[in-house]
Amino acid sequence: MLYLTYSKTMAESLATNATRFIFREFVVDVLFFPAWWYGKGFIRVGRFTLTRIAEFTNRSRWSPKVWFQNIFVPMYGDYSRSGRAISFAVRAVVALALTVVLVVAVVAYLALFILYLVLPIAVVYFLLHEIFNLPWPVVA
Amino acid sequence: MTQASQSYRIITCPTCTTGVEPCPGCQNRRAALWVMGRFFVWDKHVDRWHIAEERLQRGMHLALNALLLTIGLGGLGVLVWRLSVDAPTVDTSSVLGFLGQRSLAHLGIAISFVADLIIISRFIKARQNRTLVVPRDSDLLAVPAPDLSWPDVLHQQARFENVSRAFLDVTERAIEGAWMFAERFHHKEVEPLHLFAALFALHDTQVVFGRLGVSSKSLSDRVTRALARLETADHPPRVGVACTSTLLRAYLEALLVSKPVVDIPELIVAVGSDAVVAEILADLAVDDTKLRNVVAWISMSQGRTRSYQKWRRQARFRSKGGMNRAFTAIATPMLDQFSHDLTQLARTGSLNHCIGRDQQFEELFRVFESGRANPLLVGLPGVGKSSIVDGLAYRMVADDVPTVLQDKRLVSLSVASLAGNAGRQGELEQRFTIILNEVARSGNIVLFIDNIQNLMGLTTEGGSKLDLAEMLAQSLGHQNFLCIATTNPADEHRYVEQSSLQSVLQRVPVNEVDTNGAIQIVEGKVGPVEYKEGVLFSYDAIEKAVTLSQRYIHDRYLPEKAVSLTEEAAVYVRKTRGKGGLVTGEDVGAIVSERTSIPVTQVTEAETEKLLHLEDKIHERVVGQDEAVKAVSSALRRARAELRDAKRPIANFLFLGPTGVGKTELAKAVAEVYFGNEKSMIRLDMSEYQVQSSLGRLIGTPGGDGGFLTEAVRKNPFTLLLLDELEKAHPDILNVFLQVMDDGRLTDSTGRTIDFTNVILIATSNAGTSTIQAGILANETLENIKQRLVSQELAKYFRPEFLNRFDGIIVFKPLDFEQVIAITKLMLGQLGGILKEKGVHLRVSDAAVMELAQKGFDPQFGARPLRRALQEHVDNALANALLTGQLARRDIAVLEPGGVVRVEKAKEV
Repeated sequence: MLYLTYSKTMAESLATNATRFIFREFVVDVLFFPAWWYGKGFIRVGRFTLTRIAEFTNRSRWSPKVWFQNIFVPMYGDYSRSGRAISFAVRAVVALALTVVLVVAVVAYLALFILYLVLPIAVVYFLLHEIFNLPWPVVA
Repeated sequence: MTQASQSYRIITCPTCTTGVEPCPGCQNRRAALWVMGRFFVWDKHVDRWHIAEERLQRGMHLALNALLLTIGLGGLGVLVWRLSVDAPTVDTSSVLGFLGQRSLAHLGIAISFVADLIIISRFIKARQNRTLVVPRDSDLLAVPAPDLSWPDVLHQQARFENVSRAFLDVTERAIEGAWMFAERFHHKEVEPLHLFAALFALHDTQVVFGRLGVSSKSLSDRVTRALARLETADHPPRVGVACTSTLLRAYLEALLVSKPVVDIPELIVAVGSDAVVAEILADLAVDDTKLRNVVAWISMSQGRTRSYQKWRRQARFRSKGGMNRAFTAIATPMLDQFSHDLTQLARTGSLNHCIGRDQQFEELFRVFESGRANPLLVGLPGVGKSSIVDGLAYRMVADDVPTVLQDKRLVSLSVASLAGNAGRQGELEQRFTIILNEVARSGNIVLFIDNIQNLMGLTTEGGSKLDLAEMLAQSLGHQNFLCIATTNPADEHRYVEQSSLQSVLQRVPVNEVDTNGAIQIVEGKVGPVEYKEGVLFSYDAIEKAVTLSQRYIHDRYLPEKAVSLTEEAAVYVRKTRGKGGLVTGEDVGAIVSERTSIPVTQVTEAETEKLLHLEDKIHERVVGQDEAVKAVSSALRRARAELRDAKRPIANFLFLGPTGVGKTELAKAVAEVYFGNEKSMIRLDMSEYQVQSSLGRLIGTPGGDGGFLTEAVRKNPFTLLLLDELEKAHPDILNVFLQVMDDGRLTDSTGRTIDFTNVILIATSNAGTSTIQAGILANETLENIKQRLVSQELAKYFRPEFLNRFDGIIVFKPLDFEQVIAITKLMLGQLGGILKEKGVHLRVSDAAVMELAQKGFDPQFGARPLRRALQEHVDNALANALLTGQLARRDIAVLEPGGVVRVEKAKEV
């Protein structure tokens, strides 16, 4: 009797484990992958994008921020009038050029992020289009 | 763990051992862990079916990944191939147009895209760091565990938290391995021992035991024997109470060190605390502390790799040249000539890595941020001042510093090269002014001056009245730039405190690290040494490097002295055993012995033999005086077996007795037998220290060199210190020895503490000789004579507390005639040795020995007249015979009564 109870418990436990595994691997990971994609995945990728943009803006050698902050500070410690004037001009040009670089970088990062957001929708739409013949965009 | 021992409790089920399944008392929970007011259980089935299921699941997980990857990549491949065939130009419209077509192949491509997305999400998820161990809460951990019994625990069943999910896959596999071990041996239960055996198959565990210097054979032999002793049964094994407790303990270990999951290191530590496993480990000289330290070492090196990767990511943002990001810095040509840029060196990873020292960094940053002063690192040489500065450079590269230090470079000024070739009058001052101006104007430089005391008094001959230190102080006073400097306490006191730098520098003390701190630092530093020399360090080697250097090397400081020991040991092992050799504690001990001539390695068989027969060895030189020989021999044996108080000299003896009875001879014999040479002895004739002013000769005078005694012991700490005629010394000098005998150390005039703990102190005195002689004549026992001496005679010269410090006051008996005969033979033997070197043999008749002994014996002067008698009656005759050519090589000199030397000529060759 005792042995039977043991077997029953064991069988139950085996079944629970199997159910859990199937649920985790096939239901959560495969069928409901968009739930993760737009839930935890969204937070992760979003955070990653923000960190990269923040690093680029604040710490990178390509950041225009430090150039704007020091726009009136003469370069190379040249405090003469001409030095100041030249510095201002150079700083302004470099700052503007780096701003363009920054904008490009931010746009690129955002584009990647948007791609992340759009990808599942596009793929699912593509699949549905193949199955149900949904309308398909045509570029002239 | 002390705190933990009060703040947690593992409660086990008392009925689990009855063999009834499932246990009615606990429903197979077996044990519960109470910590931070919560109950944790390890609730998981482990049996053949569950193991098979887990393996199947793992396989299926991998198979699913492989399937998704194949579909995903296959679809992409088909897409690329079709595009290259169907669309000659690849642009948006043609791709869209191609994808817009509907066919079975296109449906396949669409499905493969979905597979791509799923596999991407699965990979990102797998990389995610999951936190499955509850976070540590120090306040809750301070709560002591209540006294709980199993029924109390069961009442809280609803609150049980299952920890089995917090175990990493690899630990799960170890648990499965343990079950399979138990099954293979038909054991009744899975015990921690099985877990230990299963763990040993893993690489991490092998690394741990490799570091502990435990050979896998001796370990597996012991484990196999222990496994054979376990109870067997005819049913499949069940996870036992002890094993469950071990797993809960592993979870607790992870919780206490704030690990997110339970990994192999925690499991190793937990298994190591099981009684059976601990016994096996103790047999292999591994205790809990060692095991923990090694596991921490392995975890630390893994952690360091991660933090290095993080540092590399951060260091990317650093500009490559000396320019700051705002381009406000200026070129510093003069400074560049006489300095090197530490931040640049750190960027390329060329500096030493600084380990720990968080407290010092905090203090350093506080000083910098206050803006009022500049830090001055004050510490003894070797305590890690430069290492802290190197660490600062690394942190500056990653901008892991307060704002005031960010985007700046740390430049080390070389005072030597600055002063070295400044010849012209005023050139040095001029250069230094330019440098200070460059640093101030550049604005992105933190100046580092090592040994700032070198700037004191530095001027060119006939130059300005100000020295460089004064100039620097002025510049720093104006807060023109930031500076960090180092010095040692003595120079700080002598120079810095007297100069104007005092007001612009703020002292940041760098103290010598403690034993554990030093071990951790050395652990961090041996990596590159191992790589360079191609050897591997055992934990024992590192521990010994720290503890032995702490004990026997006193003129240098931790961690430097331990690090240099490990470096030397690594070279030694590479040379003696080749690459791939393991550096053990014995190797480090050998290096220490070589440096200090103190025997610290394990006692070898030959040495054991020597130690056990020390009395015989000494008696080869000293006749009689059994009590004294025995006392000295026992003290030496105790010292070598480390059974003595390590804070006092090896032994302090006072030898009392008339002149010529062997007091000094015994001291010499000890020096020869134990220290290898009778000259390995510091001999002070205390009659030379009769006035108080002679103290200066002993310990040195302020401002002068060290004293004779302190210098001698500092250079050779493992020695015999012989104080002859102690009673003649001035009482103040005796007080100095009072401290030596009590604390085992003495501070010399320069403030250095000299270690006397490896010294054998022997003082001789012939105070009370008449009492001894009278006592012996009256047939009193030596013990009685000694009592009388201590209470009456010696009290005239020494204070009671002084006499109390001696481990033994030994009375030497006056020699009797029999002993004088033995001594005569001994001395003639020595003479024979000298003649043997000249190729001449000496033979002495018994009558001649007797005659010599009679001539040399004087009850008052012991054996002292004997040497004179020997000189007069033997040496002289022999010298004459040698000089006149009567005695030549291979001849035999026969000594006969009356001082006659008869020569037996050898045959001509």
